[in-house]
Amino acid sequence: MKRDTENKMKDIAENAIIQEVLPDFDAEKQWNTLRGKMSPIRRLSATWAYAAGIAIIACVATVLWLQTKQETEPPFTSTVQQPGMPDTVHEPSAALSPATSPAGPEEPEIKTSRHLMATGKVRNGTPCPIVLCVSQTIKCPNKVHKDLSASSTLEPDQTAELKFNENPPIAANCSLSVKEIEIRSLATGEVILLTSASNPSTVEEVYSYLTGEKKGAVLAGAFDHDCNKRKNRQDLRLSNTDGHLVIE
Amino acid sequence: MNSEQIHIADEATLVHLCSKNNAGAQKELFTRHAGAMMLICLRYLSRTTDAQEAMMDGFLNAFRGVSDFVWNGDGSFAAWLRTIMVNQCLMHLRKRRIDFLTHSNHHDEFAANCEDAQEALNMKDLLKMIHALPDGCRTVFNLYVFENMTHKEIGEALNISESTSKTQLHRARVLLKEKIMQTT
Repeated sequence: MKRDTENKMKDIAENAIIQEVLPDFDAEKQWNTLRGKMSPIRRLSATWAYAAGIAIIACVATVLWLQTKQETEPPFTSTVQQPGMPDTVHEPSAALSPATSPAGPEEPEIKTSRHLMATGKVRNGTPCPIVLCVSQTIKCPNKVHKDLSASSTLEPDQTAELKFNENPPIAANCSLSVKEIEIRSLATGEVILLTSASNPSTVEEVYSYLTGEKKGAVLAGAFDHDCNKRKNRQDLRLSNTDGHLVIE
Repeated sequence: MNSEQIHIADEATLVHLCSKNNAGAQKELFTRHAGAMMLICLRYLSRTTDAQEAMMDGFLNAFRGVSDFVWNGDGSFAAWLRTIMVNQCLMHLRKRRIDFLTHSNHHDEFAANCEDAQEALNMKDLLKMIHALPDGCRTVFNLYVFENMTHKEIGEALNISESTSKTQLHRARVLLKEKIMQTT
């Protein structure tokens, strides 16, 4: 076969229209088929978006319900105790805690924790804004565990009330313990998470400085970056040497 | 107005809109090129359903990757689309494992002059003849004649040696000559 024949074939192929070969070929119909192949991706993402929306609504509703439930539960309402006040045993009123009414003598007695802080204030001595979040657990013999957590946001050099449940009224046979302390740098997002296994200090050690049980300074950890996100190690200490809790 | 209805003559604008996932632009580009692309796929894949599937997959790939396409003047989009379609067809054929059988060259004896015969050829006949070729011959013939690829390029594309590509082309030519003579 000569080159000319091939060139002729090429011409035929390039100048042909599809209807010569497939008279029924309908681009509109083909487009609808293609759109059908393309749309499962869209449909899928729409389904996921819908499912995610429902999940978010469900989560928000659950959180709100739990919060409402928590607010209506008197045994865990914290009371603010002033420094210097003696440890007291509370006899909660029947209205606040029906569980301690004479009608239910088998229910545990409600009593405050023994720890008292030297001060309820904390100062952020670091150059960056930080969030201090204290998570605690109330453990009872009936295996009912309750987690409590509170966060305090502190701008540089700001002194504010340290939020954590220092002495919530708890049943006598229950114990309050610290679970985690999270110190987050708002500028960089870095987090120092203190747990029972953390290094250089465990959560229990740092907590004892927070509550004033121990005096002095403790190294809680270090941020790897400064406030401008430059690599620059910043050690973080908690100190209550001067009678005030300072994060520096 | 239907969101898929778009009336823009300028293909560069259509391509730009297409890269922004504009359904109207996608439809317009599809409508403009679907016929030509279907013809290309039909040259490689003899079954209409296979060709249709390759064309659809080709357009899907094109729409997904259109943001990487660089406009290079009129015809550049069609050329880019054509490359995608050819690759799509080759992928289709690879799945079927193209058979590059070597046969005896007894057809070479059939050295009739087909100059006059080709005058009567139309696209339908041409496709019929190309479809009658074995997969290997057809693919090499298509790539060599219609895509202007060298034997080296064909070898790389099909993972065969240059000499196999040459043999397949020769065989395709002989078989086609025979077919042309038969149709007249």
